[in-house]
Amino acid sequence: MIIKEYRCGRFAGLKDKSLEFTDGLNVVLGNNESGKSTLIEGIHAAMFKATKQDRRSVADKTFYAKFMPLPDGDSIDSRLVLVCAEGEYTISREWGANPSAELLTPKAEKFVSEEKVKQVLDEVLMFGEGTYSNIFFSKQTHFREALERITKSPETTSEISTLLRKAIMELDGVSVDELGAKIDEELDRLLKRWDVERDCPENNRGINNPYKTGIGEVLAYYYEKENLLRDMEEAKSKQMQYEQISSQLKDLEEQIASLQQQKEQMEQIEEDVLKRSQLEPKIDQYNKDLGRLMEINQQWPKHELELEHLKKELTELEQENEKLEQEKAQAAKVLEKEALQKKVDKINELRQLMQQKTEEAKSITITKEDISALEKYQQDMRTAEAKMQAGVMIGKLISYSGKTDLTVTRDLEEPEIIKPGDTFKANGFIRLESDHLSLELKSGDMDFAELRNQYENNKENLEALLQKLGVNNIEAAKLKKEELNGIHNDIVSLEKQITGLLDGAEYEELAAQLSSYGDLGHVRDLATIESAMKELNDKKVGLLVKRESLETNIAKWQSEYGDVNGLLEQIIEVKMAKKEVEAEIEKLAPLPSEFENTDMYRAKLVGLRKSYEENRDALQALNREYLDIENSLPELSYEDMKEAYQQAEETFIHKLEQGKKLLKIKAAFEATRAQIDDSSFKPVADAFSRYVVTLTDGNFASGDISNDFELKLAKDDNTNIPVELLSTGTYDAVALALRLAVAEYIFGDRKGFIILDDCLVDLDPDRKQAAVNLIKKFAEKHQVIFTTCSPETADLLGGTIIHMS
Amino acid sequence: MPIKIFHTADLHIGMKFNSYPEPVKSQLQQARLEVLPKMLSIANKENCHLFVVAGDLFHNIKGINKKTIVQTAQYLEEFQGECVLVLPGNHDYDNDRIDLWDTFQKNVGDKTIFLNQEAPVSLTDYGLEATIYPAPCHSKHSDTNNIGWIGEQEVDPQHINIGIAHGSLQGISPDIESSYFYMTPQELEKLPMDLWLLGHTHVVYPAHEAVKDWKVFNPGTPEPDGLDCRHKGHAWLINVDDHKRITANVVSTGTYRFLDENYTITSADDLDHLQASLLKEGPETTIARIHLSGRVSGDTYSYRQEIYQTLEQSLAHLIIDDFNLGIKITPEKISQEFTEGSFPQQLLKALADDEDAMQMAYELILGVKK
Repeated sequence: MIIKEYRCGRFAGLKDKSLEFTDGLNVVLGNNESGKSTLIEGIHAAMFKATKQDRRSVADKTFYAKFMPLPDGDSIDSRLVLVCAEGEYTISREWGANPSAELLTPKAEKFVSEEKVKQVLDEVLMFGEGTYSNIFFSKQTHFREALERITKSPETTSEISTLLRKAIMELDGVSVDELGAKIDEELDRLLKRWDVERDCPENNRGINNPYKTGIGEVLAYYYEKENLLRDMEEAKSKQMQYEQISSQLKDLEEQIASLQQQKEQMEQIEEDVLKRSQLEPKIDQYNKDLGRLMEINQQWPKHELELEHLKKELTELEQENEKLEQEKAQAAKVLEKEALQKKVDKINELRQLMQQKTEEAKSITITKEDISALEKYQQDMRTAEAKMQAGVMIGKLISYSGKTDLTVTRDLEEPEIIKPGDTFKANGFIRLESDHLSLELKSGDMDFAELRNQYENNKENLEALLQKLGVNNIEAAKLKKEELNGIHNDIVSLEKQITGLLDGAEYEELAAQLSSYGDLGHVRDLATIESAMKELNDKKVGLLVKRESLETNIAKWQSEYGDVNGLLEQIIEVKMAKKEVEAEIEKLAPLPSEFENTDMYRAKLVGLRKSYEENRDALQALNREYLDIENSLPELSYEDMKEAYQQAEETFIHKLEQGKKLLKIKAAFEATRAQIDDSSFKPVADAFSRYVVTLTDGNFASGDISNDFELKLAKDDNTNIPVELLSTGTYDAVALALRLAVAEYIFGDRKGFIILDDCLVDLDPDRKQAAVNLIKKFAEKHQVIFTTCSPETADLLGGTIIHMS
Repeated sequence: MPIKIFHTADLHIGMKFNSYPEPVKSQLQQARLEVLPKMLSIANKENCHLFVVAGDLFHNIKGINKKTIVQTAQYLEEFQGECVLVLPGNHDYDNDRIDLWDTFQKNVGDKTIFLNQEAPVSLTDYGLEATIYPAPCHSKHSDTNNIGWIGEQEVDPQHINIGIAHGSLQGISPDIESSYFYMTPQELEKLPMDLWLLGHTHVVYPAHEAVKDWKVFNPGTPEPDGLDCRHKGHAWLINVDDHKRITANVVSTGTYRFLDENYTITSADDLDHLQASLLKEGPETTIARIHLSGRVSGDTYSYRQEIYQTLEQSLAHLIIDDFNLGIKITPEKISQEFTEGSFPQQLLKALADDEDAMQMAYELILGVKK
């Protein structure tokens, strides 16, 4: 789509202007202030500016302020003819007093409704106003500034690919990096220290342990609302406590009043009760005395009669006791006689036994010396035997051809006949003998014959002594000697027993004593007599005690009262005294029925007084508590703070929502960046490359674009152009190449137009020519409207020259 | 003898309005006190016999400065009728230990009766054939009301028997936990009163401008006290004739008004209408909170600042909640502002399913756009 014609009756400084444009390159030539820029604005306004003015719109106010004719004039207009594949579209607009819009289509359709005009135009124009404004109508300085920003950004590398990518992304004057930083900044401002996942402060730092600094707004409002909530709860709690204490105070005061009333009521008769408490015990005492006296009065005569009977009984008991004593003495004698008889019999028995033992001892004749001799003989025999048995010898007769028997004598044994094949063993001595042989073998250096001789002698002596003693062996001899010793010991023991029984006396003395008892007759046993005596004694003791008691009482009564008459007088006296006290008690206030006695009354009164004082103390303490809590009541009540809390909560929720939206934006931002980063910029890169080739006069071969889009010098494949070293002129040229590449990228296969505002001003002649070549190249495919005040530039460019008068 | 009564309650003198800035904060505080002479003036003009404050004359039992208490007492002295009756409510309750009431009683005259006991008060000495049966509050909260004692009283049928109580009333008060001396109309009917003058709920009851043969009245607050108060402040003028027939009408007493409104904005016209509606009636005594929502063009969105400025200059106080108002970001708008294929265009497209996020992203983009 290209521009064919522009007309206006009045648009800012333009008056009755009519300009026609051709396909390809159009150069609008005019001096400064000739209206070139206004023309471009007029074209833009015709395409996009709604005719309905809203005086409240800043954009509208600016538009009218800028383009409404001065000093007077209430109307401006523009008419534009656009040509596209379908044909011509004519857009006419008037702004101001009579706003109107009209669109004529190639099909001769006419639309005058603003909304319809816009709708149709949007379809025809293919791109949005933003694209037209930022790319096709944009001032070249805008591109240059964008390029400068990108190349000066710390994140820009020396790679042209990055530059292109950024350039396209930031065509609207929005730095992606800055936007990202802004999003992060906002996130930080809102969500710092807020755990979004767990929906709470990070590290659970609630109001009890809050972060003091470095928090986001969400957390700040969270703290605010939670603090308010806590304050509210505290206020509520304090209020409740206050009301509770007030109620307690009231109850306590009522209680104290009640206690006071009861106390005072009781105190009214306290004195009488006290007197009663003093008098009533007297009555009790009198009653007790009377009881006691009456009892004495009854008991005194009984006592005296009883005493008489007791005395008689005691006399009888004495007599009986004497008889028992006599019987007891007799019983003791009988026992003595029996004991003595027993002793004498025992002594006789022991003497007989002793006699027997003495006879036995005489029959045994063996001495200690005999035993010693036997042992010596035996020991000597053993010694000799041991010496002979010290060397063991074993022999075997292999063959023997003698005519007589061969005998062997081993140690101390007798000779024995042996045959070939027989073995023989000896401990120290072997002797072999036959008619022609006599062989003696000894173990060691011993005189075996001497030893054998010693052995034989001791053996003979031993046997002779055993025979003499009448025993078979030494053990039997020892046993016999022990038997003899035992008999001697028995005899000694018997003697001791006899001596013990005699106990210093002679046997004859005891015998004589026994005879002297004679016949003692029949007597009860001692135990029976003593039992009878005990029984008698017990009875006597009882009577004696009773007697003493009676005598004591009588003595006491006599001492107190003299006699019975005296007792009666005492009784009368006590009765009279009692009556007097009873009369006094009658005069006192009666004891209330709920009290059994004065003690209970007094106890109750003491209790009341104590309770009263305690309650007064409690009231004092509670009053202090009341004052404390009254002073601590917050200024604002729970209800007062409720509105503020609700407000804070709403704000918190809103901020949190904002934060979450921001996170969503962040995610979309990252995704978009990644997506755009991954997008293929090859078409743009290719176009750019071609334009750069043109700009640099072929120094860059179009094939020398690597996969990373790195530019390489044609002469040196390994050299890259660092973008920051581009000269000013090259900046402008590269900016132009960039713009044209982007425009071409956006147009794609479609035909479009681009408006350039003298972008060759700062270029040197070489660069200028290169740029002109570039523009011409672009104009081969698309319409270019180039505005300039320089005729030379116009000549250089060529194309359709349109003069602005 | 007929009796004319001016019935008010819930002045809440001493209310702080801490969430408001100066000077409106001080103005609102002062308004609570100044409504009293205003009402007394009406009562005097109407030749009322009784001026009744049915509770919550003061906002708190402490923190009210002495000067204010004395001023309140002095204002009440200006009543020209027979008697002023003041009942402690649940905010200014009396438990015999409250300094507030000590100071108050020391500064009022004989004409003012402080009704802090559950005992009948005859007004014969004041020349009125009426007996008052008060149900004062002795605490801030209570799950029972204080009117029960009245049922045990022998009332004089020759007198006009007036019950004065403070607490929530079934059907008009939001007292979900029954913490505020809750009463029901049935309870009130059962008691042998000719008239009930209540306080506590900040809306007028019955909800009519004038009534006849009605027994139970609640005046609401005479001076609006917050954004949840949608009326202009009322009191009741009640006539009881010789036959105990009652007629009553509402009087408007408030100076300030509170508005808390929602507005859906679709265009600049809506903003203009909003402005007009807020400035229509006494803007200088209007405290408004406006909740704006909707999606509008960029121009309209910018235009709202002009509206805000105008409103802020004209109203006593303005609270703006425009969190839910945003620019309508349409594909058309995106293509109008951003180049095809540019990063902002791509980003906004990616957020097309979420208007709010798109709005925020748009503002961020504008924030960095050169």
